Amino acid sequence: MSEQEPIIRHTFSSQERYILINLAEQILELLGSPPEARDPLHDVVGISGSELPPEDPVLKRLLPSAYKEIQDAAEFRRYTEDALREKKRAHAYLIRESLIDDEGLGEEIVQGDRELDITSIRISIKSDDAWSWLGGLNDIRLALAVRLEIGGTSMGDLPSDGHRVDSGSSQKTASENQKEIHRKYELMTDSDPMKAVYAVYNWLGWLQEEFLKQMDPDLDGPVTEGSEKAS
Amino acid sequence: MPVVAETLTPDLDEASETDLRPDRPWISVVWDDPVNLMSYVTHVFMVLFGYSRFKATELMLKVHTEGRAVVSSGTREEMERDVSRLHEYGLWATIQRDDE
Repeated sequence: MSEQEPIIRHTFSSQERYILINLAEQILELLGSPPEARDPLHDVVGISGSELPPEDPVLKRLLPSAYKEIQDAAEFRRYTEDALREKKRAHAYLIRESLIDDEGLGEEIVQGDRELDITSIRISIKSDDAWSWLGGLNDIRLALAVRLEIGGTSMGDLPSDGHRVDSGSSQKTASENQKEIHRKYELMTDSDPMKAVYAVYNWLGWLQEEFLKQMDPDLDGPVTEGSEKAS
Repeated sequence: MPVVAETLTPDLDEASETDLRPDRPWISVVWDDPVNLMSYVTHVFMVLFGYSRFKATELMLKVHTEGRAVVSSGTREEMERDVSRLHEYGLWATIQRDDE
């Protein structure tokens, strides 16, 4: 297959398009301005200066610590966090741009009155961009999951702080907790705004799965069974 | 963007003190989280590490059932690269010495 050949095609309804543009923009905002907009000196040495994990729980999950040891984690973060932010920003930006205008197929979006002027859009994703889409969608799912408290409030905490070290008995409790959380949202009335967030979260999971299937026709069997969650 | 490992390793004093056996491998560990889809995690392993579908699926299931799995091993530099890429795709991964 040629690199330039689209490997994923998908039509987003106007509402889906609106929601996803909006979420991608929220991720961009959360990740902050690109390094060049900050201290130019840091680019030269490649050090962001931030050593501590972000306080925002979503950012903490999107930019996790790479080491259990605080010193090592800080050092690694200092040298790498900006690059990671930049990659994630690029993923979210690609999603936003693709949805705003797919090579003239889509309608222009009027900034001030987006909801009214948006139409459905058919997206073609080339293989080079497929993983940016998948990664970007995943970041949005992670962000929504933190807000929905799927995975509990400790999601993204270091394994060494005790929440996740034990893979034995506590694991069962964790999976029980998961079921509880999902049940809570399923029983929620439609008027509850969190119910809508939960619906979007599930839709993005479906979308990610759909993209993977288009990229990999062999995808079937136990790997995707019931599109259950893992890892 | 600097290559982290190259910047990091040479001047880490405590590392040179404790790392008496520099050939001792480091490992990348992926931790279970309830958000990432099984199919997605499997594909990340296939694409990032070039693992077969079988091996990638096996590792994904290990993460799911045991709470964690070692997904790669090698030098510290290599593991830092691996974990950076796992983080880029939203997997929750850490680096540690093989003997931990």
